[in-house]
Amino acid sequence: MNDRLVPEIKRAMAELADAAPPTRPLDELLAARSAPPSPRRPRLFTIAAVTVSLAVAVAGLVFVRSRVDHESRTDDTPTTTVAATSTSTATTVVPSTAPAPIATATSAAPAATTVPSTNVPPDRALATGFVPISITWISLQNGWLLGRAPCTDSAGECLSVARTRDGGQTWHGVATPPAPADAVDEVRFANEHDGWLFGSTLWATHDGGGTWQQVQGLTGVTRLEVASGRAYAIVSGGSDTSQAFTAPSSSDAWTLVDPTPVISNDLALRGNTGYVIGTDGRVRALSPAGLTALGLPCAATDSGGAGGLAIADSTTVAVLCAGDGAMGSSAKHLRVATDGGKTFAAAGDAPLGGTQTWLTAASATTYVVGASSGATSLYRSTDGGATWQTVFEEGNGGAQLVDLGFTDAKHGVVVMNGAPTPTLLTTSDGGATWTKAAIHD
Amino acid sequence: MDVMVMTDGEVYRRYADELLRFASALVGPAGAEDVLGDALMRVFGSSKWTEVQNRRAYLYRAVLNQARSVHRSTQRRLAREAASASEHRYEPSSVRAEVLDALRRLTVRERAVVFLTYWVDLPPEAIAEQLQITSRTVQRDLRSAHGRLEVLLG
Repeated sequence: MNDRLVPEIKRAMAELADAAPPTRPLDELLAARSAPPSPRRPRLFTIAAVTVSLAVAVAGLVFVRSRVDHESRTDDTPTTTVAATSTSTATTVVPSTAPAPIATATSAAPAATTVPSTNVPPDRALATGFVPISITWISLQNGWLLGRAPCTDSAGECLSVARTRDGGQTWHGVATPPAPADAVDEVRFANEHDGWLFGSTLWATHDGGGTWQQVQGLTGVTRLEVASGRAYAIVSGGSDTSQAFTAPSSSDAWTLVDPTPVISNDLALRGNTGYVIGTDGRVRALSPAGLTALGLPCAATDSGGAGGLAIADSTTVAVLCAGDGAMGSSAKHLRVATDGGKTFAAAGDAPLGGTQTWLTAASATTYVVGASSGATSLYRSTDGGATWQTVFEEGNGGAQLVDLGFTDAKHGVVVMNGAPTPTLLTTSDGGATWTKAAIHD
Repeated sequence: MDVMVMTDGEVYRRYADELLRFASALVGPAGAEDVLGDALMRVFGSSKWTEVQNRRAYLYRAVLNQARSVHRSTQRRLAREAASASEHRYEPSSVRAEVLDALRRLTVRERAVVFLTYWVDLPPEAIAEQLQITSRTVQRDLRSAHGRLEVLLG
């Protein structure tokens, strides 16, 4: 942030804090409050406002999976068998707004137990005011959206999960975990049955979202992807202590992949190929057996480090390396390895605008970079990163680009999560154009 | 005293001041007491409260959740009150009104992260622990807040 603003922000925060009223005795404070709100109940959703018609208006447009690495049930064959280690079953009830106690993931494999939750029956209408925050697809027709919507029986926002079976033409609500609205940030499904909601807590379903169980022992999940019947998660333990865990998609038997610390934001899977980036900056191949150190994509002069990781094909992996950021801009160097991540070479530079970045690949030659600062932008290259075009830009104060990804060379999706309203963007032409999609039932 | 054996009243006395200041930073002084009171009612009524290891962090998170809950419904009212109060109560002469207005336009969680970063001087990892969210979320919120503040105050 502009250094000039920092002292003013500090003073403003100090003034706001200092303006707090004097503390009262606890009994006085509580006596002044009304009875606590009733527990959250299942809600019936009504039709959300429609702003833009989904892909049905475009011939041939089919909805896409959120990430290139999501695979369907037909590929659901674990590459390696990991014995289930857990079984504990104490019942838990997560308060509707008070946070759940935080467990800490340790370097040892956690006792990855699941506990029954107080699930609500599936809803059949989309929540009024539903706004998307994350999306996942297991096929061109079947996908899930995680979103938030105004609670129906109390003030504030509640979690909401919706699914489609028709490529996103219509959505309906399904069961939602009894978790605070900010307890999870993203959704992934491996197939019709196995899915996860993750963020500060991890929830799993193995009946297609009918019921959700909180996975005990894993908290602070920053990334989770699934391919070939196996899920991988990056679990944050603080600075330089994030680690990779894995579980067969059909179970909650999570085990530590490797004690090597990895960067919390980067995890890419495709088929049986997976990569993470170590805190030493080196790309590492990911398998249930552990991590294998590969090439070093970013130069010492890339002060921003890795700002995106993508698999283009079975042997091509790309990393976006960021330079110094200033005034909403930063250098964005695309480095590509075509030998399975062993040796990286400079492929080109994306435009400077935006300091927070995301990267995905539609093919070995087509890349899309998301960038955010004061504005939110999508940049596209069709020549392997040599030249770039701005294909989307919106001055919205800077949004998070969640789940930026392609299913095939043409179809891609991203959730633009930020001001003024979270929005789903889709493309059906390989990222040349992006359209805001309506979400309705 | 071991916080795990404290009574609710003792926990409150230990943390009330900082929680009230935190709430004031999130929703303004006019709504701070309501937010704290409602958060405490939920926490003390929770069956999990007695098992919580990090009670201070749990309370911070509860205040943040409550602030987010009331934010939508009372945003307009608080904005009016804050705008009015800023002329008479807590607008400092050293802070531009635009700065306060820009801070009010952040999300509640962004404001919490900005408050803990710039007023409490906590690093992202400590903020993550205090708010019981991930470091990634903290860094994301901080970057988002920076971007918006730059646009608004550029």
